[in-house]
Amino acid sequence: MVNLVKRAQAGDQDAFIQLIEENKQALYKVAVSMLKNDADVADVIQDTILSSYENLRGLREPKYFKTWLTRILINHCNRILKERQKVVPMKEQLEAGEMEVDTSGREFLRLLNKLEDQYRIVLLLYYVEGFSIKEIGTILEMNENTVKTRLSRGRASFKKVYLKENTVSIYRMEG
Amino acid sequence: MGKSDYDMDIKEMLQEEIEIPKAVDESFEQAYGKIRRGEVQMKRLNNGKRRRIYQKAGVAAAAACMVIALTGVLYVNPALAKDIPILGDVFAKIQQMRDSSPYPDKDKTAYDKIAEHSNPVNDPTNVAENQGISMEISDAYCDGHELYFTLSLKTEDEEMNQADRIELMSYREGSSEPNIAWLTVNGEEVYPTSAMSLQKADDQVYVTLVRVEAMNMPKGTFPEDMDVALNIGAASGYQDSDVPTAEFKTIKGSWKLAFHPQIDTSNNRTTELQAEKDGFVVKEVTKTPSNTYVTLVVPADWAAKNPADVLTDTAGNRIYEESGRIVEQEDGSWIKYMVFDQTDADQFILQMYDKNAELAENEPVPLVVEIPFSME
Repeated sequence: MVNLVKRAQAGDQDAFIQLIEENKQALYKVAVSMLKNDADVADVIQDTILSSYENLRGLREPKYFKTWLTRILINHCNRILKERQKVVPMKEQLEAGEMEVDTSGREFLRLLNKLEDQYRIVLLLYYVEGFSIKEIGTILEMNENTVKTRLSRGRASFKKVYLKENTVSIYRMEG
Repeated sequence: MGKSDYDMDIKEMLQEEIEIPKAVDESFEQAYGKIRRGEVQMKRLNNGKRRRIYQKAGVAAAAACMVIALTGVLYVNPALAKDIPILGDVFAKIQQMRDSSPYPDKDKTAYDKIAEHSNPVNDPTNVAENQGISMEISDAYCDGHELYFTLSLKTEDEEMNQADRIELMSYREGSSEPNIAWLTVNGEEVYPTSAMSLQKADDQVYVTLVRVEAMNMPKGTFPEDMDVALNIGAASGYQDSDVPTAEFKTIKGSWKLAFHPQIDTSNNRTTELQAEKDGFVVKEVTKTPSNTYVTLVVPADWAAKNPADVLTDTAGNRIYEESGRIVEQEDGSWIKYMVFDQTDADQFILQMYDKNAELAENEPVPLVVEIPFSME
């Protein structure tokens, strides 16, 4: 990856596109888990690709490309979330808990939809992206203790979901 | 079930490969297309520091022109604050900024020339004030290829004044989602080459030089009679950091600015050529006070490989490419319109490199062709 980043920084568009392609799943998963809306996801992904391309030469350590890219994506997602808070009354936000995406056949999204917002992104960055607690702290601008707490509570939250899902599946089998 | 079992389950489910919806997949492709067509450019660096194109450079042109409008009386009398240009002692400010950081991105000479050839904007609609923020367009330059204009902002909001830079946003009718601000030329929407991001120049004061390329206009040229308008709906404050951060404050409002720039092509020089080598043809070169434009034909067999170009003068000094546009021809060849930095050179060498070639370790990137050409 480091070589690809260096090639991209030297102006090789194909290398940059390859870097994005390698992170395509991750970009989508992070964005959809935060925004729960494919239309907004499409917007932030495009913004993220273009702004990361524009600013790529500002990345001093190529090995941190993925951290850097994820941080840009999360910033774009936060911008959208902030706008939503301003325009959508809190009551409606609470009522609008379901994803505006098709989760059929996508266990990942179905599971995410059941986790609380504050734990979802931490679990995703830790388990899917393989970021360390320190890196997650950098990306989310949180201290490491907060990351650890959320990770721990996220696991507990997952446990509840997991047990509930298993119970449901047993009932279904019996039925 | 132990913790490790949960970990495995979480990991397994979250790592599940998922199908990306078509609409999202298209947004990836659209972004790739913009990059490949050169609609978005990677910003250059100086001394390893990340810089936004034109921000500090913008101060130079702003300074050179705004000083004309300043008088001692206006400058020292706070009662007339609303009537004076937003930026105060501009030359001293520029010197400070230059001393503290090498000139960013664009050749310094080009900005001096833009400043030299720009005209004060005197339209009554060049100032807008709302929500404690005033914005002003004070000077404009247009050579037919490029439009540059200075944009200054003054904020009375103490929190916003903590920002290192302020980015301007616009809203589409009926939408609550902000977009990077655009402008209109005779009613047609056009985006500047870089987001309207104003850099802090002084206490409460932010400036930038906005650049619009004719090649980004729907017809590829500026109309002879131009009305340029901005309709800003929000200003967002950011603090500089090694990694991009979210804005910390946004002030919504309405700032409508408009002006009528004059096109002056008298300082442009164009030479038509047919400098050909191995199917690559340099067809035209134009030099303006702000930039150098080269039109190149890339043969079909090389177009597919998208070779990299390097332009130098005959002394080997590189002239950096700023942006460009590719028009694919029916036979698969490209006409590549390239925009380079301003230069005083009249003799050039264009080199094309096969940047995607498979290379052994330490093997240099192969040079495909070298085309010397002259404007003399």
